[in-house]
Amino acid sequence: MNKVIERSMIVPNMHVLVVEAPEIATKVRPGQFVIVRGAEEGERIPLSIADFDPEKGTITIVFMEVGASTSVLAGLKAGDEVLTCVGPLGNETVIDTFGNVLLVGGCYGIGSLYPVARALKAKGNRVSVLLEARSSYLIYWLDRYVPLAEKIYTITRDGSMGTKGHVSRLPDIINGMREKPDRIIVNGCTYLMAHTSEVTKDLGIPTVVNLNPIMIDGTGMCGVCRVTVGGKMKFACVDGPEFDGRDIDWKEFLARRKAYMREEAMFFRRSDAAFAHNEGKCAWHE
Amino acid sequence: MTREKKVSITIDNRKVEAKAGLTILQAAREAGVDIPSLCALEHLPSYGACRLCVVEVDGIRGFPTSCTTPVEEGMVIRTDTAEVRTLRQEVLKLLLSEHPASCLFCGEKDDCTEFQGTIRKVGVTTGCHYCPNDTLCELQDIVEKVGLTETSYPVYYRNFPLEKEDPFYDRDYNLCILCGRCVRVCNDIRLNGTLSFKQRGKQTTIGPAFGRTHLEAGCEFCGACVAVCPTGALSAKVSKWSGKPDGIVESTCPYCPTGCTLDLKVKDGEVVDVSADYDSPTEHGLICVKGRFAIPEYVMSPDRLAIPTILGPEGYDYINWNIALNQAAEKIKEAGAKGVCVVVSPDLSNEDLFTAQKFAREVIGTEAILSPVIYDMGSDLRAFVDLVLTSEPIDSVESAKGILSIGLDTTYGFTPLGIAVKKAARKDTTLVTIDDGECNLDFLSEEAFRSNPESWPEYLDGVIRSMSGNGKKSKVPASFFKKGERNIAIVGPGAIFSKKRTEIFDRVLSMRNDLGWKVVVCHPYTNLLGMLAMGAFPGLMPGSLKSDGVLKLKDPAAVVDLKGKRKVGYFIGEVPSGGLPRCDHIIYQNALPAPEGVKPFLNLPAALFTEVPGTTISFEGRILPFNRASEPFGDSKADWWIICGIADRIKKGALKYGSVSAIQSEIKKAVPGFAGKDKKITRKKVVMEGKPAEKPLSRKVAAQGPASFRGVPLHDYVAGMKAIEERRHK
Repeated sequence: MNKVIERSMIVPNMHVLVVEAPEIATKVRPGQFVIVRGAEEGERIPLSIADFDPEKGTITIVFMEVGASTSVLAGLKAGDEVLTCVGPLGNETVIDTFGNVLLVGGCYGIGSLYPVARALKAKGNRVSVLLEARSSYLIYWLDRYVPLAEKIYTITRDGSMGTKGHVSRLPDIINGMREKPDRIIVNGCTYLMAHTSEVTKDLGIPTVVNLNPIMIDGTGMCGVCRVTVGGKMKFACVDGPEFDGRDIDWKEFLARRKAYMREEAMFFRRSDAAFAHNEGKCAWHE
Repeated sequence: MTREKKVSITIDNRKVEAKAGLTILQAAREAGVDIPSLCALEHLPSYGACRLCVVEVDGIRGFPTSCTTPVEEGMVIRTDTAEVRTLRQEVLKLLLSEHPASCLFCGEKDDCTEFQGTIRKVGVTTGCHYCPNDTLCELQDIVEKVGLTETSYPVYYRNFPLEKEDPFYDRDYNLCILCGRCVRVCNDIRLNGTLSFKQRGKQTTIGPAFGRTHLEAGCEFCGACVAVCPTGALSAKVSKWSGKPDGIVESTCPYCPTGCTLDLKVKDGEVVDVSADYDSPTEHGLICVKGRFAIPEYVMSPDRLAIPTILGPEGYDYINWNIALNQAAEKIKEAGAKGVCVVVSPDLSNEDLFTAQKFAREVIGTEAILSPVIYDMGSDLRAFVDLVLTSEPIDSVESAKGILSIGLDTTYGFTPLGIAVKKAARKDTTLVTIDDGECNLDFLSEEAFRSNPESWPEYLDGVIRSMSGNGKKSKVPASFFKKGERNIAIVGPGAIFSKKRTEIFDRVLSMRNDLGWKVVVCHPYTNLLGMLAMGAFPGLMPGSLKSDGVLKLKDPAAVVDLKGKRKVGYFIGEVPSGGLPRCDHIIYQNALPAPEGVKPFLNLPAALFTEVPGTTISFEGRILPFNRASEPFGDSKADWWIICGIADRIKKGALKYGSVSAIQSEIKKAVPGFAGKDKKITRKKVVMEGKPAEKPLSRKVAAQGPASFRGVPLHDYVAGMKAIEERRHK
């Protein structure tokens, strides 16, 4: 049981969850994740760590409400407890002196790239950040990135902030950079990671993605997070979660990730207010 | 409106004739000219909220909205000038500055859809796949029509909390464009008045006044608002996951005898949603919560019986149909004609009821074709059936001069009738309600008598006395109802299941017989008329309901032993309960499990009305279809198929139908009104035949049960119905 210190919606549908986990907070490294279970009969979901404070003994997770399990988490209040929180799991992001690094973040990835940016900057890299969202009101943590990044780019679908469009605009942005990035690190939805990897193939830039498959134990036992990388079978939990996106069999990855969508919808096909929480107001927009 | 008076107008340089009284928008649509609009909708009064339908009219300053401007002789209208187009684009841009609009302009939407790995429509809607209206969005169509490719205004997120505390549908007013369709459909079509605009300016949302939940505010959960919403602001809890349906099958609601037309929406072989049909002649689309929201969860329930099971020493074992039918046949044979009763649900189709009575009479040789209605009505059966047979159609209510409603609340059922009553009461009809508490028709009534049902007969006596010119001591003023005028008495479930039912029926019958009152009975037995017409009733042969509308009924207690314990009870679509005979062995044929505590010897999974075709008869006498919209659940079978299977194993060749149409052609021969083009059962009166029973059923009246189908309470499988039942009992 881990005590919830804070749970709030930072931008619509995106939640920040701060839990008390002193042992994880002292050991965790950028790029690692925890497996959280919100309720007794709940699913175990891997969530990237977006920040940690060894002194306070807390870890911060940014997650999006997309299904039954994240819905349970979105209903938590300060003082509640997360049933289980296991971690840190997975390998840490390789932090070296690369030169120019471009971080591409969307959705929860904007959060989970933050410790990566911090570590890269500390190691002496020049960090640029590209944040992607549907609209201006869905971009968060700009204030956190400002002190870390040489330049912050944004892409929004409706053009309400930065470049209008989606990941396809990435080459335009890279071509417009004064110095080409030596390395790209992408965190976010599968589409963002897969599509970025496709785009960067032509540019010949190493592209690190942080995979988010379905997982159960997170220690290499169950095999649910199996992924084919460069023709070899890997487990995202113990061999990853980071791989070079250009080597991943995205079609297979996606098929495995979609495996239980029907079952999840069945769980929600009920007409009472059993799963109701009226969250929807975010402090950021007040 | 003047009949067919025409005016000549010019739309976009084309001379057209338009019916006088139409708005420019309506006239243009009739002339095949498409003017974009988000707030105007057929059946709804004009409103002029969205401003997209602006046009230019010679002689009118500015740009009038075509949905609120009536056509006039000689009008010259231009719907597609450069100014009008620019204006529409600006209006739409302003509208989208407050509506998550990224999905409307995203060039990668289709690619991204393939990558969707989660169901998403759970939390706050921020666009495309998160939106319950994804792929069904009217806004998307309008953006295309108006030719908008981007917005230029900064985006304002209104930051309203989600509203999910009510059953059946969720609300996210961050998506609302304030078109007012929901408010208008709730107030002007449903005459319910739950919804109104709240707050002002950018704080405006929709909902009941005073911060009440929709449930508290008397929302009927008819879902009309959800259906008309052009955005994803309102979404059905059960259906929103499915997206665009693959097809729509027109069918009939099986939950009460009104017989509302339903459009069943099918996705991936499942009935996932239901919508109303405003062109239906019976209910004009004014369906209730049960038809609108209580079907998908019932028919898709994971608890559905899928495979036959038999009770063994260590619980239930799965068996195949052949074994199951053999076992059933053997048990019935063993018990003999006297040892078996067949219990049928009044919710079965005509075809199933016809097959069931044939099975009982010709295969087993018994008249014990029982059903809960016999036990519920007890010694009041004759009076009840008499009233049911003379029930007036809904449409006749509106022309009544006086309406007396006895024990009827139409919030969660009989809504088409309730709305007809409200419509009449809004005009000059005198409405008087008698109920034991507050009811939803009170607010339009001349007088609402609230009292214990014990005293309801006294009010009816009062009506009778006041109309006979003896109203001095009457509880009901003589001015309310006058002899010679068209008066309608509505007998609601509150009266049917009240302790003073005998007296109430008696008074209503004398009002009908002596004072010329018309009657409407609101009862829960869906296909009661079918049951009587098909002869699935003790002592009543198929076709006993003659084409002159006269039914010769025998007292069932005089025909068969209604109480005696049986060796075997064959329950077809019905649940063993209270009044029904006790049985050593139960053959349970239904779609959902028997209630706790009942241990059937055999469970035979039956297919439901969405899965096998059939017909039912509404209380107005209309013969209405159940059309097949999906495959039978699991290995479930049509009720008639199972009955025939057992029959064939008892008496080879005795009862063998290959299809529903084979049964129907036999019904056509046996039942008047079933054949021909305009299928309708004529109803007129009941004549009792034969001796009354020596030992009649008791007069004890069962309390009104929860809304049920095939004996199974809806709230057991339709989660939202629990909240409805709780509020009903408050």
